[in-house]
Amino acid sequence: MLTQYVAVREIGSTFFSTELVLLATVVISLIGPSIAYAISHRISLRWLIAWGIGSVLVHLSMPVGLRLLVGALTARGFESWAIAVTLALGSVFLCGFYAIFLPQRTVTAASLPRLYAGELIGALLALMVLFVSPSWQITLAVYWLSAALVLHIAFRKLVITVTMTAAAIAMTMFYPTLDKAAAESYFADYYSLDEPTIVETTYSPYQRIDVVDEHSAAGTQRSLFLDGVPFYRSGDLDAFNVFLAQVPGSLMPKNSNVLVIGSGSFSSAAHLVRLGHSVTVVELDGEVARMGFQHFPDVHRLTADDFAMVIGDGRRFIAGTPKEHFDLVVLDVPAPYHVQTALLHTPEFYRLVKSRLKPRGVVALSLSDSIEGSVGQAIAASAASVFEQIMVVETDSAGLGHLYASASFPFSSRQVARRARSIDETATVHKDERVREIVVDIKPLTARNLGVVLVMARDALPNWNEHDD
Amino acid sequence: MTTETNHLYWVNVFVTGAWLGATQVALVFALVLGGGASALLFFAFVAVWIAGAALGVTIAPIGLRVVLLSMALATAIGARTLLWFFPFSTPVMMSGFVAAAMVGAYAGLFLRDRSQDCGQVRRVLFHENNGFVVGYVLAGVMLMVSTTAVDLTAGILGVAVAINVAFGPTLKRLHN
Repeated sequence: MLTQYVAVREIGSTFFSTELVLLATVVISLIGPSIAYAISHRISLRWLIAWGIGSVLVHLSMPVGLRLLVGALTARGFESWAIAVTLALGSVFLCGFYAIFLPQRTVTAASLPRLYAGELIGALLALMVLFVSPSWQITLAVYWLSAALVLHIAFRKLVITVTMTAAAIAMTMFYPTLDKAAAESYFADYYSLDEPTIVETTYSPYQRIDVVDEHSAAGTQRSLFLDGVPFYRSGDLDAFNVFLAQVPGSLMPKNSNVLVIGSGSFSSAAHLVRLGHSVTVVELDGEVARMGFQHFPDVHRLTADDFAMVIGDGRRFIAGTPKEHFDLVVLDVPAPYHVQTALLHTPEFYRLVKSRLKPRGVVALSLSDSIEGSVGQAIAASAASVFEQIMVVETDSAGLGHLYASASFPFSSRQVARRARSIDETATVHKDERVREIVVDIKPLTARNLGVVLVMARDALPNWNEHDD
Repeated sequence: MTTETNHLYWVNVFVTGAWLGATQVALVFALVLGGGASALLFFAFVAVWIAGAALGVTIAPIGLRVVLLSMALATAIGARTLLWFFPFSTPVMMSGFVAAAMVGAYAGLFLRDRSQDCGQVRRVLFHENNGFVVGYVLAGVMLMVSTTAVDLTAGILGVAVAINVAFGPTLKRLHN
């Protein structure tokens, strides 16, 4: 259980995190037992010991080594090879070794219940460890020491036990330093960041969160990465929040009741607070909120009293608010790379949001794409199926479209165009008729049709043939 | 006395594993959709499934396997339906956990039953796990295309498992 959890977290946060990567990671951990069951009756003790030592070495190096390996191979154009190596090594060395003991120790069918129940109770204990562990370092320490314990129980060879235990203790002690170095190398290689330094890294129950400073001739740029995916970068992604929050917020009446779903760097919330609105921010991941608030003070310039903060599921929160409650709802949420984030771009969710908007309330969301792209069109089609009025703003600075929707807009598209062009003269506003014309034959992203997730995952896959010569 | 096995025997084990994998994906999605994306919800689901499996493999009476399978199928379908129509309701969310416990319990009971039936623990684990991986992957990919297809797949596999459990011994006797 610990191995599967650590593997899913580490692999998922090293490769560009999509639903396909998550699925592949789970599969890697499930294939191992099949390999073990297939060969458990044929493997000699010598090979079993070698497999055990190899597995523990992979476990010890994975949290740091995988990031180094993927970054190095990606920088040289071999990301697809990194995926293949991870699949191959992971399948054999992650969960496979541990699965060999159940069929080996089950001498008769009558002994299966006791042994299998023991394995399941072990898994439950591991879940408890994961739940109560105060930090990722502690989780890894338990993970590594458990691996050494398994080797000891299996082989009872002092040399192996002492060596593996010493290695586990050493890795635990040096993990923060090693992880920081590996992460900086990874961000330099994978994202071509200039001299990146890690400001803070943490593992929440949902994702790995990195705050990274990039040092270039132009100055220091701070970014927020969620599971290795850039979520906020001061500069280019700041324009994103301007058009997501500031533009619609500036056209709403003063002191509007505003809900922001997703905290990020609190840039969206900051724009709205400075416009004089009453702002509530809902964020699923408390660690994202903490790190965003703590490490981007120059971006948001907020104090904790400037807004109301709620940690929880955005859909659940909205469902619990009164009807016709908000003037503006800003969806500052990740792109639909995963099923759970895709659910925030569906008509089902938009209907819920609409029911909580006042009659002239507005929702602002990102298309995660241009209105001409398949993802952007699917999201726009979802919004078009729910709201009576929609418009899309596209700018070079944001690099993708933002959609505003309402039952009855309190502002005109001309006002939006004027405001948008005062910020970025490349701004184009597509009015309601034009947007509906574009998406007329497009299947919306719905809770029954999450095809956009597959499109996003496919587009994030590396080109197998691409590498530097 | 153990049962002689043939290819069909192992296909049945494989299909049961596939049903379990597909059902797990379908139930997790149902909980995310109807209960929210809280990590606590997911951990609780996994814990309940595992606890159910532990009870199933140890104390669930093998003679009640048809009843347990029926309850697993019914609670899975019920939970999926309730979570779709009544999202964010705590009692309805509990139905997801009840389903996880029932399906997990059947998984444990199935492993014990088949292992004792044929006496080949290793092969039962092997074919069931292979089926689980295939069912999980199939459902996981289909989730990104059509969630209705996930439900249908889990449903069809569940019906296949149920037919085998309910009528398999009879069909075998007739065949012999």
